[in-house]
Amino acid sequence: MNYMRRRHAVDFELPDTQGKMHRLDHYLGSPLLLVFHRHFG
Amino acid sequence: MLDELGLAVAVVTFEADYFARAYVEDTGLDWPLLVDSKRELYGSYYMKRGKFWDIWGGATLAAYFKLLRRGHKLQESSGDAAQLGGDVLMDAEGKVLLHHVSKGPAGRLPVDEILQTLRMAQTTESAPSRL
Repeated sequence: MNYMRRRHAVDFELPDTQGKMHRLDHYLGSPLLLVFHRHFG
Repeated sequence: MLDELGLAVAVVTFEADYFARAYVEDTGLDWPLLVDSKRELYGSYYMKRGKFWDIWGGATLAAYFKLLRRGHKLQESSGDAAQLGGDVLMDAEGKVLLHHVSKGPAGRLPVDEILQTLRMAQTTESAPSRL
């Protein structure tokens, strides 16, 4: 599955576990790997 | 190796903030763990809940068997075991280079394949264009 390949990444604004907000544009300028976790355990 | 490629990594979870913090403490995760409790970003990348046989099919049982043989202990899940995960690799401009949705717990991409995709993209970008 590679539906999104060559399309622009989806914008996001999400908090980390310290409460700091992360947005897609914070990461522009370097490549980014988003690893989507399954459940813990 | 990730530094050589200039690759930033962020991990995304849908689990509650309490469990996410505990996970970071337990594992010493080096990368930020982003909490997508509404699963909006999951949904945007087509990472839905798997069907029964996606989650509990032969590939999953084989993967768990392999982990048990390596001495790992299985833990009771704290969250939605049917939620699928995956990987999205994007370049410095935000263009998606690789989009992978796992078909089940055993369906993660090998790290080498992800890094090779990035290396190829960076090689293409740095190659001189033809006149």
